[in-house]
Amino acid sequence: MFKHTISELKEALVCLKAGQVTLPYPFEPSIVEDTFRGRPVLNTRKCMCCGACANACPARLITLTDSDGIRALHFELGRCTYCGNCRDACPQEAIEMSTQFETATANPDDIVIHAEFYLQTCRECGAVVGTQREVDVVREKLSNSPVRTNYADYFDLCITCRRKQAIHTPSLTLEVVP
Amino acid sequence: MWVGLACHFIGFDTLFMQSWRIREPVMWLTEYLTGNRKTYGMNKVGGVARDLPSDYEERILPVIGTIETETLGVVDAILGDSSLQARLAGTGIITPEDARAFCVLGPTARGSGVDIDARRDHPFAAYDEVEFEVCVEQGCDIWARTLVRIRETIESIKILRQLLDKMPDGPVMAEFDEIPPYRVGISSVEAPRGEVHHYAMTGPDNRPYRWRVRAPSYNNLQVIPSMLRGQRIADAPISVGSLDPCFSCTERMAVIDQDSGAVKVYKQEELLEMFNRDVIARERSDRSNLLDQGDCFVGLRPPRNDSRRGGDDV
Ligand code: SF4
Ligand code: SF4
Repeated sequence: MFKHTISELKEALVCLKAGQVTLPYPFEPSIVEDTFRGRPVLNTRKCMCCGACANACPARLITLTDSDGIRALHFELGRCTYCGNCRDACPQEAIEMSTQFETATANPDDIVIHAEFYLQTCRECGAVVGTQREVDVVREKLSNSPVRTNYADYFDLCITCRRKQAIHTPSLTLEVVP
Repeated sequence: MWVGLACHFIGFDTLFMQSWRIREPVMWLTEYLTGNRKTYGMNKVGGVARDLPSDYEERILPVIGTIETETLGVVDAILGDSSLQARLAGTGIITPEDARAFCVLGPTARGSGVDIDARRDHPFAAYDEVEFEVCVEQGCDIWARTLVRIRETIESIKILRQLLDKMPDGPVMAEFDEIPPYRVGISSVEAPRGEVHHYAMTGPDNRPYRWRVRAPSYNNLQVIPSMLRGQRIADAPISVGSLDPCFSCTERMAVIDQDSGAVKVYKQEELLEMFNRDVIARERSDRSNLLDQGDCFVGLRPPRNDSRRGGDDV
């Protein structure tokens, strides 16, 4: 009995020493660490709809769908584990892991990201080359690089038509500017 | 975490709150180190996703130091608590024979004197480079499982200190190209609840083709009928809780039609009907045998004796 009382006193001491530890959340915001990864946000100005993030996402919640000359990039964030693989895979650095964690909602549409991009079709056969943004990004990258193609009009050709053209154009060369 | 939950099950909420208070700095620490409290997103095929922040040592050491002193303080306080012991000692008995027969794992097995630990028996990661004690208690009751878990907390802190000391520099990811498809890998890892088995088959395009995980709760849950037999109903919550079961780890099956991709969700009645059909069929074929064993839980496979390793079909 005596041992038990001592034990209870010690337990009381543990509680007293701890004092009040609860935080005033949700009346005051809860501050997260700077390394915290919350819900991903997409910068639609930078994204070119290449699909690298869709390939990297372990939850397979990023989808690309083509219809009517438009490619739609869709994030179904209800299954997101905030792993950050999509951000690490993005060549355009268009995805940022925000610090938002309060994503509970009654409306599933609140936690999706949807972006639509115009498709570039091949001027010869009409097949899809990629999104217009993708073509623009490649064009811009090439114009800033020392490698210059002599045939800038290859950009709006699909890979098959590009091959066909290349075969019929014996003088196709790459010129490296030092 | 378990100590807190267990105390909650028996209505001792003071200790529930205190043990969760002691645990909370760990959650803050993991948030800082990995980016999230729980879903770390760290492990990847071939390594980890990102390196630790550069000041990790200064952040980790004080936290584990505080946990150590506070845990020891709490343990010192509860060891003499006779009402707690009256509640936990002698309840939820799993005999060593049952523990082996039902292939229970982790602290549940070690609380019944079964000396297994995948970290020592099948060393993985860096466990062969650190020294630690496998905590085994002979009590076979909930109190023994409590002691195992508390001692393991302290052991884990020792392991962490050694690892921080010995951590080598270097890349966080191994270099590899194409992974050959249709090869099989099996791993067994000691998790806080016991051995977790992962089975993976590689597929084309560097992707997994099949993957299955068998969590220790699956094994541990099987012992419940034999553990509860002859007990009072009031002891059932803490007895089941003492296994630290994670039902979401165990419930991993979805029935998907391969052609249409349609997912079928079974209702309780359908499952019961299937189960009963199974039971009736078995009872008919092997009734006398079952009665001999005196076992009322017929959905089980016959117990195996060489059950040191987990029993599922990985
Ligand atoms: S990887 Fe980046 S650029 Fe490509 S689709 Fe995803 S967000 Fe857009
Ligand atoms: S954070 Fe991870 S789970 Fe979420 S969308 Fe990105 S890759 Fe997918």
